[in-house]
Order: sequence, then structure tokens, then C-alpha cells
Amino acid sequence: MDKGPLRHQLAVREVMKDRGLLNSDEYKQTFTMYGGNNTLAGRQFSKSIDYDKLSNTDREDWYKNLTDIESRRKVAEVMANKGEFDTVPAIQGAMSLYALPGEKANFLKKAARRITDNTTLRGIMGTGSDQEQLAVREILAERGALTGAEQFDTYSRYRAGSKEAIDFGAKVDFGNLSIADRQIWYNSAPDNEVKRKVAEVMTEKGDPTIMTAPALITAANLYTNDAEKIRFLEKAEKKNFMASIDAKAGAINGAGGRGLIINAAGVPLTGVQILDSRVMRMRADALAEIGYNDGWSNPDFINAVQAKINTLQGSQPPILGGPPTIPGGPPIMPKPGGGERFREELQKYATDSRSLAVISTLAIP
Amino acid sequence: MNAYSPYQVDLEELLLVKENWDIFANKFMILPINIKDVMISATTAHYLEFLSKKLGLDQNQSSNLSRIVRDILMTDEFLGDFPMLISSKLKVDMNIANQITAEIVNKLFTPAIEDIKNIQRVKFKDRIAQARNNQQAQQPSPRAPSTAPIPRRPADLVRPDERVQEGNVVNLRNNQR
Repeated sequence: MDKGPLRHQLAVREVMKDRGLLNSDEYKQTFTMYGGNNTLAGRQFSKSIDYDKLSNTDREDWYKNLTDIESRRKVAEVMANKGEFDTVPAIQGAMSLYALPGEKANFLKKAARRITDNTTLRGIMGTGSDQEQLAVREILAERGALTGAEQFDTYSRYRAGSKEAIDFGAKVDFGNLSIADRQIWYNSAPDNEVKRKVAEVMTEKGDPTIMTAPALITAANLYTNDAEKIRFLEKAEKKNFMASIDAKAGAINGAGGRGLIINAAGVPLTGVQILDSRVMRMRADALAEIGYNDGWSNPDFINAVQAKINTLQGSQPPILGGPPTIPGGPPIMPKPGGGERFREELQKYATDSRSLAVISTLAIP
Repeated sequence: MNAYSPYQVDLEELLLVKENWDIFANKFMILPINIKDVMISATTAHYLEFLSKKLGLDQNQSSNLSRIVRDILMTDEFLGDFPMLISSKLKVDMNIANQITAEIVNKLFTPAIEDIKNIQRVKFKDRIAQARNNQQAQQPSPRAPSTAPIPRRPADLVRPDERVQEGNVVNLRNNQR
């Protein structure tokens, strides 16, 4: 590759480059042989180098010495991906290789990810174009380094309803936000997907503003199909059972009327009917753990549990005891009925003294 | 309310005064599930009724028996005092008290015995330690072992605090005799 006419030497070096056989010095020699920065051939050669395979020192040399914008971008991209721009000025310098805000932002997104100091990054989250600011904010958001208000501000900078906005909203950990910040998101987010996600976290956490039947109805109506509405409201049961039951009766169903739970004849059930049916299907431990204010203080709720006990006692009646089967042996002990056993289970799993008092006064027929 | 049920024996009175109810309920709610099971189970009430009738206890004695069982399950009383409590509150002699103790521990407490021992150990650790010290003090010196056999005392002569042994709140083997 060093003998013969120049064109033969270059041809051999091209083949060696393609096979990855050129070393660092040989790349530089070949670039010079092509005429370096001043010739089209030199620029084409510099664009064809696989900078990923060079050492970081060599990459830095090429980045400093090349004058062709496209070639420099190519080196800069590799350096950004490998985290070789470790200061904000270095990143901003490389960004000057790009003209369009979107390109600058994309480069920033790659390069800034390697800056581990969030304070440094926060320093540039308000500078440059909107896209550049968003690029930095996305990185900070992923690291949990934005406040709730900053996250909402970031989300608001995307076009309402855009994929980027929805993607950003989907990544927000609403469980870590304050109740007030969640409320801001819920009230102000323009797209339903984000609103639904916030609403789910609010109900899981029991945020007071959503734990009323009217507020749950509004939130349930953010879903399009009835099964999703019911699933959402059943999650809310854990924090406010009665509000969730009332919301099931009040939310808009697929036919456009009120009432999500429909009987075999297609007629929506009332709140009391929904309550009876739900209580009838629930296990004792789940029922016992329902809060006093959310269930056990409500007469309809107590009546529904009493009805379940009555039903169970009727379907699984107690077994009476009897005399010993063998002389001197133990008598046959009576066995409690299903209702009595269910009340025992409720007593075992109660978590509030007021609820336990109510449970303890439930009658066994 | 059912006088034979440890949970229900004083339920009406407890529910009349919120403060009393809260004290009772808050203690009950933190009990291990196996102990709650013994305390509220209808089977427990049926068994105590059967036992009361078998022993010819009157209504008052039966209610007191339910209360003693409740107090032991809720660690208001020391399990080692079970026979003594029965004897004093039901006014029966220690022979019968030991029989009742053995019946209840073996027939009712078995499913929850580990939990009962664990919570008793926490609540009565000083009494258990004291009983252990007493027991060690009463053992003969290893340097001068007695060759004479130690006479076995009948169970009713063993003081309740002597029933406590290391890792075991109550010496159940004595009770099972």
C-alpha cells in the first residue's frame, strides 16, 4: 500500500479500510494522500471512516482537525453516544454543527444524557429552542430530577394530544407527586390517556378530591368502554367503597344512559342492587377491610352484609350436635352455619374498632 | 350474647362504653389470626358449653371460664396462672382446675398454641425469667448428685410458676397427664 502509483496505493488502502485493517496513522496518511480537508476526495474519505472503531483520542483528533461539517457531525454523533462530550460548552459547541432546531435537540438528547450531574443539566433546561429545552427536561424527568410543576410545564410544551406529549405523560410517576401536583395534572392535562393515568393513581392513593361519587363518575367517563369503567371503579373500592358503588350506578354506560351494571334483561341496576350484588360476591377479608367511613357506617352497606349472612345461613344451615356415638365418648359437637362462619371471618379480618363493633352486632338468623 | 363464647361473654357491656370497646377491639384486632380464630369460633363456644355441662358448672362459673379463656388469649393473664385462675374464680379445687386447664389447652388452644406461647413470652418475659431462676435454684448441685430418686409430685401440687420452662411458656407435658 506504500508502493506504486498513488492511485494504486489509495485503491489498496480503500480495500484495507473496508476490511478494517488500517491503523490510526494509516487513516490519517490516507486522508492526507487524498488531499485532506481541501479536496472532495479527502472529505468523502473522512465521511467513510467508521469512527466508532477508533480510540477516543483519535476521534477527538479527527473532530478537531476536520473542517467538513458532515464529517465532523459523524464524529460528533459517535462521541455523543459514547459520552465523550463531558461539559455543557463542549456539547453546545458540537450543536453548532447543526442548523435545524430538531437536529440540535436530537444531538443534545444523546450528548446530555452522558452528563451525570443534574445540577449542570438543570442549568441549561431553560436555554435554547423549545426542542432543546425539552430534550434536557426529558432527561431530567427520567432521572426524577424535575418537580411536579416542572414536569407539568414540560408536558405543556408539547403539542396537545401529540405522541410526544402522551409519551411524556406516560412516563411520569404520578405516585411520587404531591396530591396538589396530581390535581394540577388531572385538571389541566388535555388528553384523556394522561388524565386516566393520573385518575388511577389518585384513586389508588385515595386523593380526597376524586374519592366522591360525582368525581369518580367524571373519571370513569374518561374511559370508552363499560368494562374499563367498571375496572377503574373497582380499583377505587379499596379507598371508598360506597362512592365507587354509587359511581357504578351513575356513570354513563355504552348505551348512553346511566348505570354500568346491567341485569340479564338489559336494565341498569340501582346503587342498592349493585351494592347487594357486589357484597354477595366479596370475600370476608375484603369486606372486613373496607373502611368504616367508606362502608361500615352506611346502613345500606350493613343491610347488604346482613343479607349475605342470612343467605349463607340459609344455604349452609348449622348442624346440630348429638349424644356420643359410643358410650362414654365425646358428644357430636354442633357446627355453625355458613352465615355464622362468615361473620367470624369478618371479625377476624376487621381493621377498625368501629367496624368490628358493627360486625359483632350482625345477627345470625 | 353467648356466655360460653370468650369473645361474646361481655360483648354487650363492652359495646355500651366506647372507651372500653376500643381498648378491647384494638387488642383483639392485633392478635394473630389463629388466636382470633379460637376466640371467636362457634366451635370454641360449643366446646366450653359442653365442658361446663360435663363439669356441672353453673351459669356464673361458665361465664367466668369464658372470661379466663378470653383473658389468656388476649394476654391479659399469664398462661401459667391458668389453673390458679380457674380454681379461684370458679371456686373449684386445684384437681378440677388442672383437669379443665388440660382439656382447654389440649382441645381448644392446640391450633394456636405456638402463637399463644409467642405473645405470652413477649408480655410475661419477666415472670418467665423469674420462674426459670426459681427452677434452677431448686435443682440439686451437680457436685453432690443425690442417689435417691426424686419423688414425682402429682400435677396438682406443682405450682403454676414451676410449669414455665425455657422456650415453652407452659409445661404442656404436665397438663397432658
